[in-house]
Amino acid sequence: MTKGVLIFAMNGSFNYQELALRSAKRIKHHLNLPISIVTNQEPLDELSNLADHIIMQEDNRLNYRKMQDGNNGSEKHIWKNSTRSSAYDITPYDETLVVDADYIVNSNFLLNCFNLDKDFLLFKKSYDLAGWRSTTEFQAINSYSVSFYWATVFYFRKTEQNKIFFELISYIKDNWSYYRLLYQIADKKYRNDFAFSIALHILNGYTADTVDVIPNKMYYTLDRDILIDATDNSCTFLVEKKGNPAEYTACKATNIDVHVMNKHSILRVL
Amino acid sequence: MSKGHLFFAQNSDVDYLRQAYALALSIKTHNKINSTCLVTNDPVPIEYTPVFDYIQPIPWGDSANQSTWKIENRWKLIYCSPFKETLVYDSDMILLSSNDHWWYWLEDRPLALTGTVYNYKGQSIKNSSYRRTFIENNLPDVYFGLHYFKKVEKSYEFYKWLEHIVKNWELYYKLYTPNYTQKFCSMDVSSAIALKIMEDEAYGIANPLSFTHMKPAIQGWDIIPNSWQTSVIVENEEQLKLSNFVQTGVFHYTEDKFLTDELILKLEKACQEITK
Repeated sequence: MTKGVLIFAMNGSFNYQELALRSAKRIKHHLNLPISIVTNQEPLDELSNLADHIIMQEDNRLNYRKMQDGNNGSEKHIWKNSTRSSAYDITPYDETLVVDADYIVNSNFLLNCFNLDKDFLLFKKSYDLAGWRSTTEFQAINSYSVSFYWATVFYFRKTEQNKIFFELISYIKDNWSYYRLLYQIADKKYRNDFAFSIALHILNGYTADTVDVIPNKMYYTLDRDILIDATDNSCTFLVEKKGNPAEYTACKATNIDVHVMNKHSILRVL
Repeated sequence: MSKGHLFFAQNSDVDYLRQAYALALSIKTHNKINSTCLVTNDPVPIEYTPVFDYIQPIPWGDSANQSTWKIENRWKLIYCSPFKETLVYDSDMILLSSNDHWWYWLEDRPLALTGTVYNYKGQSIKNSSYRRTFIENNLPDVYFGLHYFKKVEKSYEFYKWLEHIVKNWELYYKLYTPNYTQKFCSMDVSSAIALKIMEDEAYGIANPLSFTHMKPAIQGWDIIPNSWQTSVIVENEEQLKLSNFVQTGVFHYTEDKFLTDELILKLEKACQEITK
């Protein structure tokens, strides 16, 4: 059984290949697994050298996303995020771990996914390193609707059930304007987290959760926080201070993987 | 031992008879043990009667002729049930799947009140703000709306206490709920006090009785609407789905307008399919 990591590095107006390069280096260091990069542009030389496979792919869906850089303001970027549903078809591995380019690996924790004897795993619970902000948007896709699951990191095997799951994601994506209304989602933007959450709910017989999850919380910082330093196994952040958005609190995560939503700061530090 | 389902209906500004009819249809559709008994003093439309195996008058006359909520007669249920074992439902409930399996569990119990209710998302409701009386006074968090009794001494004792409490609710509420006192009589609080007096709180926990409660305040919503039907997407094709959550078991819809003519027609058709 072959095992490996798949990273999507689809360049829009932000350079996701640069992000993926940094993420891949840490994955190689901590997980020591083969890495495949999915991208839509000629890859960076360093990325080509690091990856076992470069998989070229187009993403013609027009999606925009506002990306903040701490309190340094924000930019609106073209965001190419809609090809995640192809992971099943394009992966060269029997067992695949898909990791977002802005997920910073500081430990070998994710290797456990390969030892749990599960066909599909992803994160449900999460923890905001700021510790005080509302997390309701990450508990359910809205208060009327289904539980929220993170598509940031997921593990899957090549099974018939998973094939159906990814086909369903693709179907939801192609009919997003319908599904977002059906699931009472206000934002028009297509989000993988939402599509995954909806697909899991449907495949679960339209009932509440019995989905296999990665047995830990997914730690994250928002793009309002700033990554300021990193070592091989730690990241130091300035996280938004409670009651005063102009100020920060320092916070260090050691041996804990972190989904760092401030992509600008990843490029500055790593 | 005879077993059956019983519900109480006294029309006021709400047509509770129509609700009871819908409930009986759903019981006949889903259950093998499906004897039904309607307790009412109101004239029952002839088209409703086939789904009621028994129609019983309210014993000792109507004690609620001056009230609109009409709970003053509820303590009489044990005296008019034709069954040795009875499952009692609020009339604004319907069955969406069988609950026949409950009887096996209840066989060894004299009495059981619902202790766990769920919202439409399948989340169990605990410590909700509208149950403040129960929380602050350490009362068993029970729901009288769906309960079970066997005609044995313990159940008669419970109903006797219930009679006393309902008839003297202000006195009992003052005594047993000093930390937060409800200003009106309810069967939930009254039955919780009865269990507490009997030191039989266990009849409200660890039993299979449960239902989906559609009171808007307990759905886990950011904004609480007047009607749950304005906030969820209702699909009722093969299965009832609320905002894409399939509903099963006992569904306590709480709002009479949910029971449309179309839904009644659907329940009638389903019942005819099963019984023909």
